[in-house]
Amino acid sequence: MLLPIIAKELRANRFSTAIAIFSLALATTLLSLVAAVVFTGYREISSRLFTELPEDMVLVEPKHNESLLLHVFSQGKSRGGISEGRLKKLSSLPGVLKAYPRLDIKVPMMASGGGGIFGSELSTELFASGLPPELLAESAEEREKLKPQDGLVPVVISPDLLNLYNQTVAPALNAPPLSITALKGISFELTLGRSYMLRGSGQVGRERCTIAGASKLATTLGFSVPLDVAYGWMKSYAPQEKIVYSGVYLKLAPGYSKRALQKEVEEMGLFFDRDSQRAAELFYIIIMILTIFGASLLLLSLLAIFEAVNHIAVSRREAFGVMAALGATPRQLRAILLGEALFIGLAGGFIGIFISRLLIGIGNLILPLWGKGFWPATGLNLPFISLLTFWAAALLTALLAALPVALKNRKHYERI
Amino acid sequence: MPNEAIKLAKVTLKRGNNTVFREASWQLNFGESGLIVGPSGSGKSSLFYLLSGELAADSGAVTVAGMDIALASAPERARYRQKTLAVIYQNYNLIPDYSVLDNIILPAFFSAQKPDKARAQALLAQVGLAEKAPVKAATLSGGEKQRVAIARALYGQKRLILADEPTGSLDDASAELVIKALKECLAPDRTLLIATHDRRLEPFFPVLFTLPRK
Repeated sequence: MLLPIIAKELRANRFSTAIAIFSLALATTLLSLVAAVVFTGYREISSRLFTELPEDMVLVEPKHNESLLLHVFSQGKSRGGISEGRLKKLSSLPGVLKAYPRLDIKVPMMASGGGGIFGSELSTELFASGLPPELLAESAEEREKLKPQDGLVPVVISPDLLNLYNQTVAPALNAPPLSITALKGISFELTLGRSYMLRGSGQVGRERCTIAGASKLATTLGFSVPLDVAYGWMKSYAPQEKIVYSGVYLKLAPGYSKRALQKEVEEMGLFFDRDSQRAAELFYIIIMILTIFGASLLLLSLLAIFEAVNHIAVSRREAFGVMAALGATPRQLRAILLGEALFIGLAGGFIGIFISRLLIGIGNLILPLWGKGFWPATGLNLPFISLLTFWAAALLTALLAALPVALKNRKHYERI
Repeated sequence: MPNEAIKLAKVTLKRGNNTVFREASWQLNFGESGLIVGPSGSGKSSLFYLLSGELAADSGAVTVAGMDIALASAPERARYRQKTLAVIYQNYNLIPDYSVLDNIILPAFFSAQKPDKARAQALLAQVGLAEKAPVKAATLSGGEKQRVAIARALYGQKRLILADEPTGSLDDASAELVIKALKECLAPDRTLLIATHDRRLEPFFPVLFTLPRK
């Protein structure tokens, strides 16, 4: 029943109301824009840093892994990796259908080629790993292509490496971007046993390799080969090395709880689904930072709203006195004041979110034309639930700002 | 609903160093209407503030329609104003940026009644201001504002109407219109109490109470 009065009071206090709505809209806009940038950045970074696995798969890693560099610099004395024994134990854990090991090939290597693409031959240091064919190719037909043929060793590259080339190297060389389709079948020469940086202790040899496809699980700064190829190269070029795995992908039985498995794996002294945990930690940090930033922004607008509502309460004291004389209860008078604050919160929050969505939309249209390679391919975006959260926060800010005013004036209303 | 409209029992009221009432006792039933006269400063307005619950007596009991005002809580006093009491103030107490019609129907919002704009319009016609319904109250003359205040008091159909110096600052022509509007408030089950020092009202309403000169 008080809605018409709230509407009349808002009209009577147009100026103060407008200022309060404006300050809240500004805070909400800034918060939404910054959140969109941060969430998009998180999405881009996490998609590059963390590999998203299917729901029924999880990656187990040793607590001390070793890269090729570490291995070489420690002269093979560093301890890390998952042994054959622990691999067997992992594959026999309840709920595990299959365990797919990842073998980092501890052999220095370098590749040369690419004259047809770049116009001149290039040579580069590379790192490689071995993975079961089931992880490198989805279909049986593609897995067939991962068998060495005609003296060519099939390799699988990471889409991230391709993206990196397309976003950085290609523009610098004024070369067209490449797709995996264009790269399939391209061959290059691989030198194993030595590279520009390192010299292995075993023999040195050469292999002809061909790009057979792409997989998110492939080594980013190099490529991956079928596991039996990796075993072969280790045997040929680093026979003294003990076979230890840098990670094991566990395929889980349908519906099996990851939590139940996590405990068993961690008791073995291994990391369970570390990427998800890192992603969650990074997300948590982002939420904390955004919350602090958002709270600061909204606090500033809270002060502006408090001033506006206080001004309304003081300037309308006579009108409220008349209402009290006509039978308005103190609660009804407080409700009118809080109702005005509610409107300010709803309107300010909505306008702020609307403007931010508009700016993001415009930005997504215009900025890719300037920021090629820098602007994320999918553009800026913000989950809908975040927008609802910001709107609710704006509403809460307005109500919190008005509450002290309503309570401060309570004694005045009750005196009438 | 008791027939006793107002009862003062040994009421003493002091304002600062002045004693406005000393152990005053007085009673009025519903249906009895008239004037409370007295010079300025004699306590007419103070009596009204006592009756409306805006002031508390220093001692004694003030009962209006059976309710002891002093013992009532703020929500109870609000309900009393919603259901029983209407006040016509000397300074009109209209909300200037609301329209005339909105000022009249305003009390309905606080008592959870559906505003009856048609009845408000009819009351405006009764006090001679039908055409002023949409205009802002701030644009009205003093006499017009007072008549709107009277229409508002009538809108609530309250049994007790207090009018504090309703013709206080009005010229003869405006006062005549206001007096005519006040006569619309008279009803067998209603009490209209007018506090005034304006002798122009005496031919139209009986003098119920004379407050002494200080």
